[in-house]
Amino acid sequence: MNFLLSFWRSTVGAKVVVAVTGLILLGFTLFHMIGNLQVFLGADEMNTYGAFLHKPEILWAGRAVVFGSIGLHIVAQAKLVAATAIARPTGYRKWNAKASTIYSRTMKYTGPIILIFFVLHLLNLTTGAEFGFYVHPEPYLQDGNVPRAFENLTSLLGNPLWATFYIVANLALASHLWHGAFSMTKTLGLSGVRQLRLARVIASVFTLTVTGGNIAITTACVLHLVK
Amino acid sequence: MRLTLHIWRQKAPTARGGKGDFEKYEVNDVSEHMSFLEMLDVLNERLETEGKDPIAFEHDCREGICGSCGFVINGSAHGPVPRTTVCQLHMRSFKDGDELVLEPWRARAFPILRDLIVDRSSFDRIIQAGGYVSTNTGSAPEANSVPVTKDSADRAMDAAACIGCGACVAMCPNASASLFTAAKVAHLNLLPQGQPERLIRTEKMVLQMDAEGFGHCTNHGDCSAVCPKGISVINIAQMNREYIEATLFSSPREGDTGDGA
Ligand code: HEM
Ligand code: FES
Repeated sequence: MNFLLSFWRSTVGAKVVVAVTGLILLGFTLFHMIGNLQVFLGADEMNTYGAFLHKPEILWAGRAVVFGSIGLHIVAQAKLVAATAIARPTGYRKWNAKASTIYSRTMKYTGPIILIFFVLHLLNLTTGAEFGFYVHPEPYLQDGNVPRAFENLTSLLGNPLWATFYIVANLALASHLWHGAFSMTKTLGLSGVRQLRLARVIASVFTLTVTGGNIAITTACVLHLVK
Repeated sequence: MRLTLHIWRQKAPTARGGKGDFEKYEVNDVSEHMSFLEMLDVLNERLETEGKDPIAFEHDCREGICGSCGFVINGSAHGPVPRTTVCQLHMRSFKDGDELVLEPWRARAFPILRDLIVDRSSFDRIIQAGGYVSTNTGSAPEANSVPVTKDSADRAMDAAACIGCGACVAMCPNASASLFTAAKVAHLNLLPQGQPERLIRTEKMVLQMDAEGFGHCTNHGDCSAVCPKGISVINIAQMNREYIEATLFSSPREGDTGDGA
């Protein structure tokens, strides 16, 4: 197992862990956004989907993958950031960006914003009722003790403050993915010039699709367009 | 033209606890035909006649090929002109009255020796870790018996253009040496002569790069943008791929201690 330890200790290895877990999370964000588009189909569709996701096998497998990935993503990244933080003890009096972007340079800030959002999001819509964190509509559960996803979502995001917060969090997500979804391909070794050009396009379309979809859902709820 | 320079002055090496600060110099009568280093030569002559310490900066070929020179001018490594070392930078790139800040490369793995000179022996140790090919000596093989595709030869030549000046590290927001290391890895890994040691080379050079205390790569791309030789970041992607292959997908190799050292 020495080779795994050596891989993890190296900067390239730890970055590959960030990239692979990032890739899994990209899959999750797409799946999650598409699932939630069902809010436009109405309460029945959405709640049936919610009940399906609450089958224990699916629920716990999904949670294991997502929580595991987020955990590893953060641990590996924190290790890298901590080592790199001391790589330049004295900074420049002047420094000009030549190719880096505001998106690439703020990854270590947009990441934690997404994390805070993620925790609040779980409190809002997964465990919130138990903790009294958010007042859910009555009755909170549908048949089979499954949360009534549609009513919970529309009443939460019907609140302009929560809706604003969700939109801001998605802008942070957009910034993170704009760099991350492309950066990942190089970290994992994609080195062809044509292939990287295509990867840039796919990363951009992906980012705009996921965050655009999330923001569309939020906007529709706050404007009470879905009932 | 007249210029105001703010130059980092540091007497003692950082490794021996030396600290520095900026000092301000006014230089008059700068000809636009001078190179940047000639302008500093003129300033140094004046300082010497005034009995002051001249400004220490590194230089050798002054032709943009040896990789000795380099410092940061107003936030850009080697100054404002792309694909140019500071020895090949001319004063016509500046205008009368400009105020310029001159700083050494700043990275923990490049400790300052004096003024604008940094110690880049960390680069030498990365090369020592794997930047070589081992061949049995004997009579030279028939040239055409070792075919190299045009594409590999071109890409190896592009990577080999690296002069090891350190501008990539200097401009990287993370002070990462990934572009330098990747160029050296790619240059040998792309050629037939580099094949026997391809994986062990990649692994050892990456680990040495880490051990020297450089930062990690986050694919910002500032390194390649300031590289006087235009080394591409695709070399970094290739190094990542070969490192993954070396550590996760290959059997232990000869000379591999198994602990990744
Ligand atoms: C939905 C959740 C998330 C997704 C989809 C995601 C995705 C990604 C991807 C694909 C990368 C690129 C890896 C690379 O540079 O090769 C990345 C990098 C990164 N992520 Fe995340 N991430 C998420 C959450 C987070 C969280 C919660 C944090 C914070 C603690 C975080 C912090 C970072 C940092 C600091 C980087 C490194 C950026 C760099 O190398 O420039 N991410 N992320
Ligand atoms: S002095 Fe040789 S490259 Fe500038």
